[in-house]
Amino acid sequence: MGATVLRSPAVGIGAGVAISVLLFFALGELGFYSLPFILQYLPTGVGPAEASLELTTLSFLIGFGLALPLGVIRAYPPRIVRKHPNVPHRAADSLPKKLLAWPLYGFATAYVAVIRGTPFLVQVFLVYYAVIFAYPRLMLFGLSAPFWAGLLALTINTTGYQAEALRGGFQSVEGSQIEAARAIGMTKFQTFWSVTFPQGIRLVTLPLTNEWISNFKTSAILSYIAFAELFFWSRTYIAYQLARPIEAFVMIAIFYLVINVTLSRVVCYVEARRRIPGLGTQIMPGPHRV
Amino acid sequence: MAAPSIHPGGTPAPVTMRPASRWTRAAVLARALRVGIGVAATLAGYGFIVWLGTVGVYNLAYAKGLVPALWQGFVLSVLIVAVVIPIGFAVGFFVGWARTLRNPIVRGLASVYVDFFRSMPPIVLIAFAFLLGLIALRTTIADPFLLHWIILWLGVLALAFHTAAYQAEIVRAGILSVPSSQSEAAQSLGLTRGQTMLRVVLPQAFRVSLPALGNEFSSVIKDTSLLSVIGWLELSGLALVQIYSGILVYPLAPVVIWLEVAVFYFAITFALNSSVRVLENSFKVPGLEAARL
Amino acid sequence: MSTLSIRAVEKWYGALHVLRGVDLDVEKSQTVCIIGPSGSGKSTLLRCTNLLVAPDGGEILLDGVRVNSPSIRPEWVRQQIGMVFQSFHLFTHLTALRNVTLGLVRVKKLDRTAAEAKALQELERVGLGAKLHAYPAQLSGGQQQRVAIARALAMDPKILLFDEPTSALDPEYIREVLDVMAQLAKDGMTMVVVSHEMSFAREVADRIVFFDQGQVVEQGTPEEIFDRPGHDRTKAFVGKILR
Ligand SMILES: Nc1ncnc2c1ncn2[C@@H]1O[C@H](COP(=O)(O)OP(=O)(O)O)[C@@H](O)[C@H]1O
Ligand SMILES: [Mg+2]
Repeated sequence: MGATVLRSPAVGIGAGVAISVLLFFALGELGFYSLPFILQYLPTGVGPAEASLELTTLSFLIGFGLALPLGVIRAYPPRIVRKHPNVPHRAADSLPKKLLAWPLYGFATAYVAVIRGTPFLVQVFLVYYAVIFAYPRLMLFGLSAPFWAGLLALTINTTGYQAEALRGGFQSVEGSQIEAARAIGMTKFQTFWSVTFPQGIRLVTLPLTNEWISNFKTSAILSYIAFAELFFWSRTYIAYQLARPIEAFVMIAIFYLVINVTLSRVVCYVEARRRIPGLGTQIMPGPHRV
Repeated sequence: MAAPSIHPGGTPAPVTMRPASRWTRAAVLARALRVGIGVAATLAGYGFIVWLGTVGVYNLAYAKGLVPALWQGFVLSVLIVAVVIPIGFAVGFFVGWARTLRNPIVRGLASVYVDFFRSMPPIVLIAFAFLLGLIALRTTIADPFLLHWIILWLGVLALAFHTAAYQAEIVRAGILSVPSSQSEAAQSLGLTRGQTMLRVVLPQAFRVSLPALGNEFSSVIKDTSLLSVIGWLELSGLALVQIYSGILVYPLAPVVIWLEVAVFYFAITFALNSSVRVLENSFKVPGLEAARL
Repeated sequence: MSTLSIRAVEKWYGALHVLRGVDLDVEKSQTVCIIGPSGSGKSTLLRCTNLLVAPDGGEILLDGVRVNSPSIRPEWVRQQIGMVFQSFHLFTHLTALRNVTLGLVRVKKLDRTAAEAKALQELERVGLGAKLHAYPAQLSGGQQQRVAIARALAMDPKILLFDEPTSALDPEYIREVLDVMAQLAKDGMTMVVVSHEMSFAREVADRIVFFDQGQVVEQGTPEEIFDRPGHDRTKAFVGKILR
């Protein structure tokens, strides 16, 4: 009994929070950094944090819209490499469909492979210089090149990762579910929207949350194309301008920890509470993203 | 139910000790086809890129001139990866294992480690490892070259600790994916707890974790690009250096440079992913596959 | 005219000749029970009948109309031919009620209230009026299978196919499913049932079909097949399941 209580996640989380808070104040009291300074200047990070969060969320949402078709294309490869057994009989594809299927699948696969196979740092510089080259004095809605290049790069990037997450979700919907839908006379399209999509989305709630968090962290790299987000604030303002590097690190850590840990805990909790019985798998944590 | 007799001829079939080969003709053909398509696509891409240069979309001679310099950076990147992965795995293994233990203090400390390093962007860790290392060590270490060398490697260490947190989660999920009935079975055979872990739990956990670990390793490769911001002259670092001189040659130089760098990175991650897949296949046991999400 | 006529249906899986010219007629309101060894192609025959799998040859006639033809949408055919699977195949993400309404709303284009009224009626018919809002994972196997029957019934099919509907069930739940099926037969439903439940085959089925190696070997009344089988293969098989 005692052992099961000790093993419960709440105890682990509680111990974790207690250790972190203790550590934060203890190190401050020991003189590693100045607690009053941190408390005074923490509010100046709210604006940059908002900039980070907005850009992250905007690119995530646009990316989701683009990733959905890519994920679908990737989930149902043209015949010869079809990996999904048990999918009931399909009528022979018409010629235009056949001719379209391969290039689409090839494009989606190449897109995902290239985005996931190259660092975001490289992608963002590539996009940034290309944007600068094409529109040297870009200014739209009062926002300049760093924002637009950042948004573009982040969207391109998150699209690739979300497409792969969605592909995994759609493919892990069981063949029997699809067969049952077909057996009551649903078309492929209806089957996708009524069965595969709702089940697949539930299966990838946590991977997609992780993807949002990854996207948020990745946005720190935009600091190097001078987009004024969290890392830019902590690095240029706190660390250099105010000459407080240690405090700068503690402050940015507070922002990232509070936002990311809270979000992942809350989503885990809500997902577990709202999970439909019998739908959901034990999945491996995804890789981190760069 | 009328199952047909197993030995219709009366003579029992010889007992086969090995599972049926995975290298059936269809599988070999499918693999060959994949490799063929990959090679063809690569060649076609290469031809296309060269063709774009010859028609003057970019400066082909300049692009070719970059390759030797970038190759040096490529070698350094690979070297850094070879340092980060073992450290990351060693730390990650113990942290992940600690997360499966009962003791709440050990578990809490391991959780704090994982949460901290997973929540922080690696670029922040690297930049501050460099900066804070500089501040902490500049009074104790007089030799500026040694000092610079140490803080550069502190950045690498930061990266290793970051990936360790992710690997810890993978190891933990792998261990937890082995049902407790497996440990019970092992212990009821008289195996000690250590033997149970080493002989029963870890081999199964390893197979389940392998794809995720492979993904994480390719993340590490991509992460090394971040070391360029503290002055490492690896692949991306050299690219940053080249830009200053290149931009004087012609305005599109940065785009060409970064494209070329992207190809190099893609080559490493692709090679790594392919090797992991081969590894995965050679360790494959029916019924022990990771959920691919 | 038979409700369902299967004529010389062939099916190959690669080099495996699974159905070797199957002929079968099912009259309106008849219950036909198919028995036969495992692997003989019974499931494949049912799947070919509602075109979940495309037959490679022969014809499937529904009320005299050939339905395995390019001019007829397979979705329309499947709506006419209900199917109940061995392992239920309920939609995991939907409650019992929504499992039944899904096809009514999406395929039959009923509005939601009409669909729910119809679904309620069918769920009560299988004795599950009290479990409307349970998810499949919260139901016992027998309850899940009855929801699956309600789901098929709700589409008002001309004929219902059952593929070993009780063989994935714990023994204590078999009875409730068989009772529902017997009631359906009494109500005049046309049914093809692959099952080795002797009580059901003897008491409910109008005709028993012995199926082996992709062919109909022999058919007749339960008494003929079980008590006086004509073929040696039938004799051997019946001997095994009657024991
Ligand atoms: N999708 C498929 N692909 C290849 N072979 C199949 C497939 N489905 C069934 N078979 C094979 O067809 C034969 C008949 O199977 P089935 O119709 O399920 O038999 P039954 O239901 O009588 O047990 C079996 O040998 C089975 O292995
Ligand atoms: Mg069967």
